[in-house]
Amino acid sequence: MKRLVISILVLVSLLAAACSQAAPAPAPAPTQAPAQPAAAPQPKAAEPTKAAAPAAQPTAVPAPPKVDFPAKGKSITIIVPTAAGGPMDMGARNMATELERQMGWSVNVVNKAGAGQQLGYTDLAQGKPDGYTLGLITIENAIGLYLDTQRKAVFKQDSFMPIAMQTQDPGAVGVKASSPYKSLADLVNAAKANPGKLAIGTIGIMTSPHLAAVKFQQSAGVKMAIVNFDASSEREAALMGGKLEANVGTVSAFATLEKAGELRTIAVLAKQESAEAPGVKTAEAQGHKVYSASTRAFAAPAGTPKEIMDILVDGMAKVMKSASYKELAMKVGQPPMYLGPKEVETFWKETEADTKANMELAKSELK
Amino acid sequence: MNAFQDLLMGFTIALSPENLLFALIGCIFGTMVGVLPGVGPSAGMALLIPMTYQLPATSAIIMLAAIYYGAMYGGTITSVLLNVPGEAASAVTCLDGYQMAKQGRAGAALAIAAVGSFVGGTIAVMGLVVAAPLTRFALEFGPVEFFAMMIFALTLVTGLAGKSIVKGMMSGVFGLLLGTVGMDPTRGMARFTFDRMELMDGVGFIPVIMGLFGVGEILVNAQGQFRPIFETKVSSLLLTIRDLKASFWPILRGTGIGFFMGIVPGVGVTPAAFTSYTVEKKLSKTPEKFGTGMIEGVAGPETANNACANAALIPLFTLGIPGSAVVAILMGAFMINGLVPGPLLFKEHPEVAWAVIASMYIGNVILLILNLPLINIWITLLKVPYSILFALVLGFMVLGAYGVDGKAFDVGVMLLFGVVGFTMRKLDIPLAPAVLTLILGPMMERALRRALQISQGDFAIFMESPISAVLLVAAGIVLLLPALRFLPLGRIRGLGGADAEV
Amino acid sequence: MRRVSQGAALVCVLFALWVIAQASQLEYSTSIGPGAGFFPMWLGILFGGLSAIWFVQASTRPDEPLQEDFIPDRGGMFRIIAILLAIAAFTALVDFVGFQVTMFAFLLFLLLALGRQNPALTLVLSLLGSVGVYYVFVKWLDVPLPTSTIGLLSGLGL
Repeated sequence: MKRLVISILVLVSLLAAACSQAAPAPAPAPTQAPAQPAAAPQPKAAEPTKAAAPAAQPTAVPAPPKVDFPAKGKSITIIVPTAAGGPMDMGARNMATELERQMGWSVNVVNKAGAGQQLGYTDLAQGKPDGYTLGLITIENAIGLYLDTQRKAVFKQDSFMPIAMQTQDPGAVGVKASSPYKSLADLVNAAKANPGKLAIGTIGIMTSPHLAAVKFQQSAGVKMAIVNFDASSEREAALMGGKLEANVGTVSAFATLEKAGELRTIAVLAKQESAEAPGVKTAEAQGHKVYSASTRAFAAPAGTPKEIMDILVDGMAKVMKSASYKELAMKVGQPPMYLGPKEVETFWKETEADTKANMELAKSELK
Repeated sequence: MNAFQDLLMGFTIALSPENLLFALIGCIFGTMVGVLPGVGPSAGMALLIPMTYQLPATSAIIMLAAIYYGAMYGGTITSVLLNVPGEAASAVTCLDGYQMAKQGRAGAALAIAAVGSFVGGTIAVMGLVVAAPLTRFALEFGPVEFFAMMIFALTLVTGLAGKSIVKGMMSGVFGLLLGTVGMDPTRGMARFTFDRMELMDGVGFIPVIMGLFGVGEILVNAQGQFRPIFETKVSSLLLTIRDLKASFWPILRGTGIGFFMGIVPGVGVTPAAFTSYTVEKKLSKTPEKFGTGMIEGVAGPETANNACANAALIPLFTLGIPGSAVVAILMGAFMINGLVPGPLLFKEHPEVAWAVIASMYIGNVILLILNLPLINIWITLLKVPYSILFALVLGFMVLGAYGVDGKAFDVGVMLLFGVVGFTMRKLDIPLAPAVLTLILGPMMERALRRALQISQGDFAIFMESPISAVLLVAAGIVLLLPALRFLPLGRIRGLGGADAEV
Repeated sequence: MRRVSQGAALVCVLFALWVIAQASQLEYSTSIGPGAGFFPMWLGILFGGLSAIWFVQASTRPDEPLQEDFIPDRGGMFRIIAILLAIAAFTALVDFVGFQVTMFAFLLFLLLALGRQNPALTLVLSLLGSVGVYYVFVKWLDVPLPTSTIGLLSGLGL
């Protein structure tokens, strides 16, 4: 019985320690665990997410004139909102490797997958703004998450301070290689001949490819059967099996099948043509102002001091422009596409406005 | 015949000492990853990908592929010994494998799993050699056919019910209800999420099965003061002739089921394992004994999941379409090395393609050689007094639930389903139907939505596709079979009559 | 057994009613077929129906005697609740206190209070299971496990 009492005492004291910790806000330690206790995922925490609205983030505190960043013995954590092994994870790990090699910083990657990336972004938005917590964001996804009000996302654009754009995978429209469609016009004509019958595959609901498909319908003045898949492999398999007439995806998602001679990309959904899909005209050039992409950028939580941001921005810019980084990035099919913080912010704003308009369209479509 | 010459060339490359070594490392690491909680095959492969930058392409892919199929075997070990499914596909192995362990036959269970995995894996790889026409057939499974297949698989739930059909059905419906948690596939509305973003993706599958099986079991044992629950006098380690005889057909059928479900993209190993289990139970002369330690109940599903895992590589090799998330990572490994999986791979880099295929035969042999002797070591784990073991297993599961996504929330989910599992055991409600429907339900609903999106709401599409029509009629027969038994016509003629309508 | 089955069936009926109520707030159908609420609604009805059949079966069929150990004795109840509380405590604490300390306390409690092992063995196993596992997972397997947010502990590398 004595042992029992002792062990219960241990548990109780731990509990007490945790509770007393919950009151004062900033703990001095840099950890991947969220700084505010309320952000910790636990089943019965009372309304944790709403309380910690991004607006409540402290704005930039004047830092001491000379910053020692990153301090010796401290490591930077990059939060990746997807599971290990995916494209975002590989991209983040490449950046971590090169930051360690070229800048001598200690960087580790933490995967925080779940809720369609919302978990990872929440952790980043609520992370401590001291430069030691960074994240990789797919901008179009993040926008989709917070524009969907029922998701009650606790972040929006100003919850993050962009550091560098890493890569951008432009959207694309692909058809089976044996299909008669050579351009968007062919597709539109076929859709006009069979209103509501032409099946076109996308991925997810209210995602960038889905919205692009909806927007394309409106732009062409046709009605098609838009089919939402969960994984690009399922979508491509259905195209190969002749269940769909066309797919809206990204250039890199189509690349394997295109090289295998099974698929043909007929439009790139970007302002410029893509080097990865040479010779394919943009949708804009084919008369349809439809854009879609998967754009990844590194960011820090809002409120990170300017001095630290400068160091991070410079460091990542240097890596992004190096030959050794490029080599790594090309290996995983992610051609480096550097944009600085200001440009990323502008891009983010434009994309958000575009997404908002398309979502209204899609909502009426999904009845 | 050319294919066999190419395969021979592949063997000469794959049998080179360094490639053998990488296959061995992959197998060992894969088994370890399968045993450890919270580290799935995808995380294991992702971990080693950076290391492969320095390796030649062939060696890198050989090693990563070995991790993939090695992990399938590792998951079995914890299911049999601890009633803790390390990954989803092994959940069904808990049903009879763990019972066998309790009777002191853990060795036989693990051995038959190793043998079955070997047979299933090897035959499935043979399919790779002659696969191209098969994948074209698999592509016929669009959303319409997929939906029909899911309906057919769901009718199998009736076969998983125990003594009471009503309780079995309740378990199945409960699983389906759990499967509706999260974003709905029609408009992306939140269902039963209680405003928790952790639930937007649905309930985590691993925490649920660990709770139902693992925690539930420990709670039952905790009630009885941690008496020793394993028969410590481990009888014969090796399989008896009777075991092998009993397992022969289940292994062959498991291979067929696993192979077929593997080549259809998006089905996954778990439905394959469950289908094999229910098929064995339906065909058995003593279906009531399933769940009490029947070796057929281990042999079939374990074969099916390995056959399925290996067959899932076929669409990757022949078309460049990864059949599952894990295979997608393997595809990434190809791309990193500047190789494009698909039909062109055989033309442009035959030495890589055939070496990888040959290495999979070798890998399956390595796994067999590696695992049979290891069984002795695993079994000694059961000699640990249960009063210690229970704590370690609980720690193991807590770590596993947490490790999957790094969310404490999932540990809470496991806790909740531990209580549910405990209650279900007390009330004699079978667990297996809920687990199967939890996987199939969302797949079914999504396929239905897609099929209707294609047809723009016309249900006739399900009868226009011959594959779908046959599957749906077959599902109807499975459902009506028990009822037909009561007709004066007798069971056999009832079956024949229904068949004639097809 | 009859009373127990009847009670459980009633609870299931209530659960089904709750599901149906929730489902009725979701869209039942869309222009091309079932909506978000379709499956939850019918599954709820099915579950409720099955529960009702169970209730009737339990009430009309000959009663089976309750298993002898159906209701845990005091010791059993204590152990079950202790295990559940320990997991709950782990869930609540792991992100604040860190993995190593929480897991150490978790194993210590289970082994000492429930397993009744001797303190030396307990200590060794708990250390291996917490600090040992932490190093294997974090350093070798790259699985992130949380460190403490409490300054004092994180300073010690926990």
